[in-house]
Amino acid sequence: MIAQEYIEVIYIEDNMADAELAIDSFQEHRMANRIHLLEDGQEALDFFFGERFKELSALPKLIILDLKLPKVDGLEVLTELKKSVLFKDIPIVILTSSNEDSDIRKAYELGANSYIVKPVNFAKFTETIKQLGLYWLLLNKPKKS
Amino acid sequence: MKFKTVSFSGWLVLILCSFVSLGWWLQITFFVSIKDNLPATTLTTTCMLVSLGIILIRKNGGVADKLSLFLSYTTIIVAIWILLEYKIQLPKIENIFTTSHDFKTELSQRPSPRTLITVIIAGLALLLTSYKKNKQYSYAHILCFIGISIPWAAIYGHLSFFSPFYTSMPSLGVGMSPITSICMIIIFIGIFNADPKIGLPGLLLGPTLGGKIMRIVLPAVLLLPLLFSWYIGYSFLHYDNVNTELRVILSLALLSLITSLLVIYTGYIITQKDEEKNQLVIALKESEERYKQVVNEISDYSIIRLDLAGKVDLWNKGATRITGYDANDILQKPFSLLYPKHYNGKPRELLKSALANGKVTDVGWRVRKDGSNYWVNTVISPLYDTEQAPIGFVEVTQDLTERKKTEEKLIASEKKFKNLLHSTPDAMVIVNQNGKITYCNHLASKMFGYTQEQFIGEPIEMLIPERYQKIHMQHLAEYLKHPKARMMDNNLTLLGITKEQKEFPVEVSLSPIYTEENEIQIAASIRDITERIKKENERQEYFKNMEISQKLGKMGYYEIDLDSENATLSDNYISLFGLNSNQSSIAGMSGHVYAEDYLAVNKKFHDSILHHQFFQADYRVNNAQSGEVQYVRNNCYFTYDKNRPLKAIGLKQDITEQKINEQRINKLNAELIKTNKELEAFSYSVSHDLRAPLRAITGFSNKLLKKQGHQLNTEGKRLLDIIVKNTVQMDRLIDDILAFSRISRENLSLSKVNLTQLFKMAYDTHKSLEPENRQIKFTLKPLPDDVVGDSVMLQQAITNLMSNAIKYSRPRQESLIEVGHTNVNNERTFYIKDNGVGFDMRHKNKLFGVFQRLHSEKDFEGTGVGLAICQLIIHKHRGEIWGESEPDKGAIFYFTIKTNLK
Repeated sequence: MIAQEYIEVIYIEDNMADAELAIDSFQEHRMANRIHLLEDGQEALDFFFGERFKELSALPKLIILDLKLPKVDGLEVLTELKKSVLFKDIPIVILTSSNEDSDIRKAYELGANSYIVKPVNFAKFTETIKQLGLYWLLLNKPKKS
Repeated sequence: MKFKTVSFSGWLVLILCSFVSLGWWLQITFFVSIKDNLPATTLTTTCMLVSLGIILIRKNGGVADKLSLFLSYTTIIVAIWILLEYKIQLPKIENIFTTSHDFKTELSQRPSPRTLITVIIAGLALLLTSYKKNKQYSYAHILCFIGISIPWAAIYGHLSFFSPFYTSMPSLGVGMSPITSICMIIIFIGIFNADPKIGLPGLLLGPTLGGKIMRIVLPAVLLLPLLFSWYIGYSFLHYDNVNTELRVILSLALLSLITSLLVIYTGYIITQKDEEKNQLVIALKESEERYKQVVNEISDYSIIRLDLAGKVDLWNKGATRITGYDANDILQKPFSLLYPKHYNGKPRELLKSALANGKVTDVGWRVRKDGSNYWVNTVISPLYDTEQAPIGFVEVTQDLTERKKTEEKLIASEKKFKNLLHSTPDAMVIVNQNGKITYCNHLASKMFGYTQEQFIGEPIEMLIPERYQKIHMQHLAEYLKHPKARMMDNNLTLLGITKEQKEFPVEVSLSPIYTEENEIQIAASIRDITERIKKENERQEYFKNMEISQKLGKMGYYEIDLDSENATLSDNYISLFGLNSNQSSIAGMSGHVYAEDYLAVNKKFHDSILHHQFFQADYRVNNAQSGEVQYVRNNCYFTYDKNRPLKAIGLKQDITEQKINEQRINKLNAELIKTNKELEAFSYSVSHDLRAPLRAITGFSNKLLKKQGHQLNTEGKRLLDIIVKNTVQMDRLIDDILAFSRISRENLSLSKVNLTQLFKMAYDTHKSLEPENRQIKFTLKPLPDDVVGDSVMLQQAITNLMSNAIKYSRPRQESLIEVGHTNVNNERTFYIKDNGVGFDMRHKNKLFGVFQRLHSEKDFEGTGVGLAICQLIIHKHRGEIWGESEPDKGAIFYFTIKTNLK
């Protein structure tokens, strides 16, 4: 359909309110215009390992992943992505409301590159999203593939 | 009073003297001198005679008394004195008795020298007989012979009117008077008779032939010359021409005639007596011969005769039989040959003793000719001649060797028996048919407190309490009817009683004993079983307690003999596992082990034996009766003889209940784990799902405010703001709840905790959150460094406490916060103190409740979970936490930590 589409950020989030607020924040700071939102784990797996992905011109710069996802759990998605030779170098930032030690530990064990707890406070939330975008999209040097 | 010649003669003299005195007083010539021409008995003489008479009367055969001695000496001295008066000029003693001063009269009042000499001799003789000595008696008798001749001659003279026989001074009228003469003769006869058994009187009065002849001849020889002299003196008095020679010749012729007649008579008598004696001797010899034969024929007894020196002079067949000596071997040899050498001197002593006592008996050993010993009973009696003089001995001996042996055996056996009784471990008492004690051993006297003497002859009932005495007597009578040995009967406990009336339990065994007289006696052996009963009771008590303990612990005790494989089981064992006997075997015990467990248990049991280990196994068994499955824990140990296992001793515990409980707990635990998992899932979803809407509320409120804010008035904005604030509070609540639930789920990871650092960190963190200008004085006193706990959790608790202290002292100009430790109820207690607003102690029970707050949100922010978390953490550290305060006066929180590293 859209040939050679370029997607900068894949954002996997089932909570539409959070997704909207986060995307608002990215766009407010003019980072990552090309954010692709996936709403559950299954959809994410389908996206990466399905036909759709082949249409992309390049690998996304960043994957933002929520842990608690319908159908397929965020940690499973993380596992699959980090298992994949193709995707394992894409930085994956976990953006979740869980502050549980077990989640944090597991996420890093599975190769998550960063773990950020969603602040409940809205101001802090937007600030966090801003910092996240700045760091991973502008400051961080990804591995050359 | 026995008639005695001595005292009779004394009395006779006294009577004659009293006549003399009467004569002098009444001037009766006859009383004084019989005839005018004869000398008179002077008063002085009379006095001396009286004194001699008194001495005689007082003679009693023994030693003379003092008065007699005094009279003897005085009389002798006076007589010597007067005698000396004839030669020397001396004061005249005789004048005491007369007043005459005329020499002639004076002289006639003086006793004649003959009289005086006679008196002196008599006095000396009396003195000599004053001591009981045979030799002095002989001297006395000699003196008497001499002395008696003087008055004898005087009387002879008086009768024949021949004055030279009675006086040397006829012209002066001094001479021996007839009465004095008679008195003196009487006195001498008396002295002779002082002891009629000795000397001449003995001979004269004795039964001998000589004595008999003397009794016949002497009076004739003595008296006939007197009669003749009187006859001649009287018939020829008128013829003054008849001279002295004629008178003497006539007297002698007559005397010779009479003496011849007497000798003929005496010869006749002697011949007669001799013949009698010869006949007697023959008869005696015959009888002796017969006696000898009889004695000789006695063979049961050894009868031997000994001479005085102890030489054998008669030997009978019995003696030969017993001793082995022939008569020829032993005759004329000392009988001491028959005595063992070591009896040295005994034979002679026996003879002496036989002489002294008339008979001696001896029991002892003798020696045979062949040197062997034999035991005898001997009687030795002295033999006397007719004069009662000992002439030898007869020894009658009975050989008692056999009897002695039997006796010795008997004594030995009796001794053995007594020793046996004394050495028995029980008290022994022997009772006769009448129930009287005839014997007891040491133990019996020790047991009952009586001495052995106190036992003997007493009724056996004295050892039995009074209330049982009657029945005991019946028992005794019954027993005597059917006496047989009866052993101690454990079931029959009897009571004994001591001298001090103390009762004690005894056990008695009886056995009849038959005496030689075939009389029955009962030997009772008595054992004090106080200790045993006590021990038995203790043992029973112990077993009872064991059984109770086993019951309480649901345990069964067992012992297995590994050789015989027999098992002994406690009562509780059989009741626990449904067996029906205390005796079983390994097979019986293992037979009901649950089939699936059997191999493993069996292997473990044998491995334990092999490796000398304790055996412990939990497994299942089927109850032998109901078949129900029971869980058991079997613990046992093994005893060995070197390496050979002997016994297995153990306890089998029924742990079915525990097992069931365990299973229940496991199930509960599983459930709990499941619940916990659910709870985790719940809090997980809470953290995710509850926060997301909150963020949405704040986020979209902000978005609304940003994008549509110009359309909202002030009130609208304020309301939006309230929504946002509440959402933030809600978020904080969720955080705290999650923390609380996380802490309650987590386990402690213990290590040494530096409390000082934790307080400091907490203070620093919270101080930095406060405005710059806030005045806080924080005092941290030294804290112990040995506290053990979970540092992460304690950090949380301390942070919460510090946060409160800073928060609630915010209204103060200067906050004062102090941390330290103290001692409360002997426990190390930490505290944190502030000068804040404090709280009302009435609400202290709400302090630690979840979501419980004592201040409004408006005054002090907070969720009401902080202190709940603190309490949870401190409780996890097995400590306590509490607060003390008064409104506006600050608060102080105490806590203790009791965890430690193991």
